[in-house]
Amino acid sequence: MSKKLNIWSIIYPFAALLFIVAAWGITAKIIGQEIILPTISSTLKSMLNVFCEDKFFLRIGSSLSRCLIAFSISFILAIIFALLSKLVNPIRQVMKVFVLVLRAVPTMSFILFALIWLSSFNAPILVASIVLFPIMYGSILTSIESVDSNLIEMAQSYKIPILKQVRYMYLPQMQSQIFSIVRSNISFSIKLIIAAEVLAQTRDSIGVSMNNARLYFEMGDLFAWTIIAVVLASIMEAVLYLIELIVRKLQRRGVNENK
Amino acid sequence: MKINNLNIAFKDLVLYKDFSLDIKDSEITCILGKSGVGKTTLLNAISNSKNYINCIDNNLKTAYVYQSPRLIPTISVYDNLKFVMDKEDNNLITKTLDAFKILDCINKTPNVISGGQASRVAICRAIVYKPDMLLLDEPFKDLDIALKKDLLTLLKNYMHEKKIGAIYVTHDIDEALYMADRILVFDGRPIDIKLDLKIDDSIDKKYGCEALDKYRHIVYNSLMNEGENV
Repeated sequence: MSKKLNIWSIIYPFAALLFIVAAWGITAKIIGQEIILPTISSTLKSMLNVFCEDKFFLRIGSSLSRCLIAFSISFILAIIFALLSKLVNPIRQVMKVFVLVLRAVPTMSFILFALIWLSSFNAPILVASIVLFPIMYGSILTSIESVDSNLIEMAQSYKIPILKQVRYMYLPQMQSQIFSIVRSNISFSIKLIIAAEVLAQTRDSIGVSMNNARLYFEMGDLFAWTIIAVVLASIMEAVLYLIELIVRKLQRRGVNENK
Repeated sequence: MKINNLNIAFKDLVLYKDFSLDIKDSEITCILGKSGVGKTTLLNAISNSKNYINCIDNNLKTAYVYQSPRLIPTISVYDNLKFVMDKEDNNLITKTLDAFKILDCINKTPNVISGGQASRVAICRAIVYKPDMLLLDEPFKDLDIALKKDLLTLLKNYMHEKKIGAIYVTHDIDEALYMADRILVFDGRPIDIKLDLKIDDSIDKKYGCEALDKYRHIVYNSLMNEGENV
């Protein structure tokens, strides 16, 4: 069933964005102090300056690569442990406690531990992985557990081996929800990486650039890097959405070709 | 298959107490009884006979066709059948689906086929599993009479050809009379076999035919609680 393009689904977000920009512009004018809230024009100028810096793309690439590495580590581990938790009850019980601890420990503690254990380059990766893992583990486990218990009973009555159950029942169930799990967590991983980079003082990173802007009261630069981080997260979500559309289209085409 | 002194209870409700039954492997045994009497519970127990190892002597490979089709919704009909096979046999899958008139659904997912088609896919899944015995729990209840007759004939011919038996739960007396070599009527708490009726295999059985009238009356009366246990 094809969806009709709803014009309002474009208008409303655009209107919301315009509202935010307008509110920012009006508030900046009212406050009248760049150091507290820079104007839109000065922020745009700062963005241009930042963009023209030598190491702009190096910083973007460096933070992005850390984000992707951390995300991949926590994603793969979350899938493995979610499947194991579903299939082996003792592992599930252990993971309950483990995830509870991970969720409860302050993110700052992880950052500080990571700075002691690792280099400033790798510390943000460890921090983001540890913080993301319980979130993704929980989401993936929920999607696995949404497999109908009647299907599990059917598979047991047909004496289907566990690995085959994973391949035909659990993985397809996960696949249908994996894209939304990934999209909802990718932006969060960028935020975590940037926060950790600030504290770890990771060279040539978005986090350090933001921190330097703060230190020198370059509010325009700080806003510029914030907007760049938001744009980066939005681009990643958009890319993931496109990949999802392509994958679903290929799956549908595969079904039609087999008819 | 032998069932000896089977005991099944759910909290205070005793369904089966010291229940015994011999079932011939190559026979089609139909079980009728009031809703909720425990027919499906018996099929579940036979299907999970390793949990009743002292009571159910079952070395047969059984395939269960549930009341609801229980198809995996995220994969195609083809893959649903492939799921239960040790080795993929494309020819067997297509032949079986064709025999049950649902070959056109082969690449569709269960969410886009009708309830009747899904029921037939579940039966095809049981067949490609190559069982020694089928456990059928009202497999055709969602189908219209014309289609039901055709598929009953197909299923019966398949079982006779492969010499496999079945335990077939139904509420439809005509369906039971057409399919069965033996009819059991369950009743009571705990369950008692109110009727154990062997159908004369010399009768040329057609669905709903007059030749089965005498059996129809016996089964009907038994279900309506008239008369003694037979």
